[in-house]
Amino acid sequence: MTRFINYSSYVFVFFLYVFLFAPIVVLVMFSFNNASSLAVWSGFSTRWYHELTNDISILEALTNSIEIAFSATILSAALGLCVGLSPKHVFKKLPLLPIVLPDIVQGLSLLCFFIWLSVPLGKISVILAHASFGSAYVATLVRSRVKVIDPNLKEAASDLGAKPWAIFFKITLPQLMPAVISGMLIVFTMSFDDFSVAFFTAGIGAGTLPLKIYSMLKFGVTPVVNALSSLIVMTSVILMTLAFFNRPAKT
Amino acid sequence: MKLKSFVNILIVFIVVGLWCLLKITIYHKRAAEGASRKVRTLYLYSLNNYFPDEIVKAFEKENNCHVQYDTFSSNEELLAKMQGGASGYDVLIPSDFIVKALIASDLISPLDKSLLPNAKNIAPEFLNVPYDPESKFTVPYKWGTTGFIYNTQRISENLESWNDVFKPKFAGKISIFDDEREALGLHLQNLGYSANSTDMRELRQAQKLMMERKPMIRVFSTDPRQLLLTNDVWISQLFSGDAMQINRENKNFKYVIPKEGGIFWIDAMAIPKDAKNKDLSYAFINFILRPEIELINVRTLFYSSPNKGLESSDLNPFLKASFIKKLDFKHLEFIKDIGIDGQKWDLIWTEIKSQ
Amino acid sequence: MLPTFSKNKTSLPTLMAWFWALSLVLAPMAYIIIISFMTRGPYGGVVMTPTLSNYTKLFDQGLTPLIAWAFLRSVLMAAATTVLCLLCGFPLALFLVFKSGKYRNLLFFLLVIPFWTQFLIRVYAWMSLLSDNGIFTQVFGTTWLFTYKAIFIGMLYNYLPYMTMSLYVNIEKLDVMLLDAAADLGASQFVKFVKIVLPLTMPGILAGSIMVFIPALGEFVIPDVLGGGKKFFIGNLLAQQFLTARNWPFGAALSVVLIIVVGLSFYLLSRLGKGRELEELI
Repeated sequence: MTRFINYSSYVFVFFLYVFLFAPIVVLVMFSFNNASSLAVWSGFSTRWYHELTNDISILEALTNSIEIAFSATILSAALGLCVGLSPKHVFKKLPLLPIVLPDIVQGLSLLCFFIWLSVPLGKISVILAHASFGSAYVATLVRSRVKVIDPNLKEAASDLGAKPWAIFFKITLPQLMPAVISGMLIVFTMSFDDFSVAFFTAGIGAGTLPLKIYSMLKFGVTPVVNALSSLIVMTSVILMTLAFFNRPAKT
Repeated sequence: MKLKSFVNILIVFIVVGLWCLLKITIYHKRAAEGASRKVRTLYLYSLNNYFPDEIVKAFEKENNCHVQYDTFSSNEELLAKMQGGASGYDVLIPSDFIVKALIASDLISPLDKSLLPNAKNIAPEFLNVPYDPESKFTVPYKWGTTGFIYNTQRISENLESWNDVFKPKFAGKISIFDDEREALGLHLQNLGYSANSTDMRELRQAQKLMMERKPMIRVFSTDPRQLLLTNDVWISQLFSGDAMQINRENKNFKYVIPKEGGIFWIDAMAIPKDAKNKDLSYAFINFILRPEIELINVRTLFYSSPNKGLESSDLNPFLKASFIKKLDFKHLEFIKDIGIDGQKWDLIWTEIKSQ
Repeated sequence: MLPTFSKNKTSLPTLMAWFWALSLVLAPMAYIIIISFMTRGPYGGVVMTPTLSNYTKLFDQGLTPLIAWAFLRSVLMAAATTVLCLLCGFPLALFLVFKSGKYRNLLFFLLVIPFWTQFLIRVYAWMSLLSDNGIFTQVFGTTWLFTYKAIFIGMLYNYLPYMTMSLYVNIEKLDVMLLDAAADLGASQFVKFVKIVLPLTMPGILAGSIMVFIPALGEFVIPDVLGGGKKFFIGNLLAQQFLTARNWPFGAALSVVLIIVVGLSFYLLSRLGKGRELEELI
């Protein structure tokens, strides 16, 4: 019986991983398809990769996405640190709100709010919108890290007469760094991946990659999308592998 | 040390990110070739895939500028974003009925025709049109009809009317536009009413008909080209231009304007009130109106042109401005802006989609 | 004692924290509630004339069933997604923690990779897998694309990693000694699971459920792209009110209802957690 459970668990996990990777394998495969079809194979070619390098609008969308994700990440790190370190009770619970609220509600309310304040819809509005939920992630992680840090250190430093800002930069921040950095990684991923919030808050010159892909799905999708996503997958695998092997083995 | 490894990750992250940024920016610079220090940007807002790269690049080169091509996925989205204050676009490409709404909302500015000498190339049939009676605000960009297309390999009989399409044997193989004006409009026309009806009784009848047919509809999609080519659907409501594109890949598709009527549409070029680079906007529109540019455009997009400068070319007659004279306008209707009555349509569309 | 900034209330960090709280979280929410009491302009937009009509409209005879259906569909879909994610994610997380041995990190790493492709690209990849020429129809027959089945698959695919990670973090902390002790006392697998594993992992299950159920409630892209846009979910209804019908006040009223539904589900789920600190797990 135990043995059966053992084997079946391996089979189950194997199939789950097949399920997780099937779409990605198919994506990469059809990026080398000769025809413009996304479902019928008709020979190998690299034509979609050539077309990708010529498709300025997609590359532009990609640059926008990277720019927005970077700015949102940095803004979130700054705001998230402040929120996470604040002793006020409100800031303990509030970060949960943007984390669990459905994207569409966040997007809609920010859209209405920006219009009311006449914040022009563009890159800035998307960055602010992403920082809205991004800061929440950083704050949550920072706060849980704070509980682990030894408070005596800070007190010892202030006893020695260190200024508050010096204490912060020399002692508190370095200890919080792991939380901040993993928070930033999450924010970058979320921002780069976000469709719903950007869909509502984006305006001029802020067409992110997800928005571009959405309008391609609505009007004229070609395997250029496959070529692009294969490249994204490859880049992220390389990045993650680097990060993975850089990590010391857990004991 | 855990911290060190995290910092490593961050460094890798930043380096690769910056690399991507730089790489792409360099690419842009090269694309806008010969660009001097100051490069201005023209903000274009249109449906996806509506301007060939070749033309955009040629314009960039000639005017030493950069074209930022943003896309929307439906005409209503364009209107919502413009009303919402997405300011700063220099050229918009709205469809006819949205032009009317844009004018009414005071969002686009009248055109200074002296800055558009190439407007003389527009065939007279496309001027003084219902949505812009004196052609004060817009210049036509492309035009076409909405009908349906079917796969003659899968369907041997001749389909001429929507009544031939909605038969049980084709159930699950039909696609309809995900657009209330087109999808509900076709059912109104099917019942012999106008596609612009605001009569609640007529609208209810069309709704009833559509609900009866809904189980037969496989998908609501405004771009079913891939689905047609992969045989996921056999029949689909379609724009004439997309039909031409499909025929270029596969000859076994036949485009039909249904007996009971279809839609005639014009997509126009307009300049928003708050455009920041109006001189570039005019330059762009004027550039698009050049016959030799339009020829490249039509050859890539396969949408019909309102430009009479293409008459002498070897284009498919279907794509020339003069083809409009061969259309039977007894069976074709413009989609009109219906203002506040649009709420009736919205309600009915919501009901159709929610049930 | 938390290592906070200075006690001085007007310090820059405190101001920044308030800036985030007020202008990026609370004010937009408050504003949408205000809009829901205003009137629609003739061409869309908001006219600041107070009215209750957006809420009375919710109880309009014709509209109520439609809205109720859209909500019900969303709630059922989100619930089904949560259950499916639990059924797949729980064994997976257990496996990762207890069975994967030296491949644990590698397997966890593989779990995250699909996350790094774009959400829309994942949805689009499923479109080609589920199409009539795709593997699914070839192997299992029947049509998949543009059906509820397709929506389910898309939802499961996109939300499974959230669930698995919440569970993984929790199970990792499980006391292995306790499990061994139970086994020594002769507890069967099943008893061990029900009596020990399940109660101990409850916080993880709840955190995972919140991470899946609540965002899934507002999902509108998957029903639109994989479901063929034939049925409105609450998210689609909202997007339609804002972007197509341009009836912002009514859309705002619907959002308020959605926020209430979300708040209720959150409250109920955290009640199940008996006051345990859920935010720690997320």
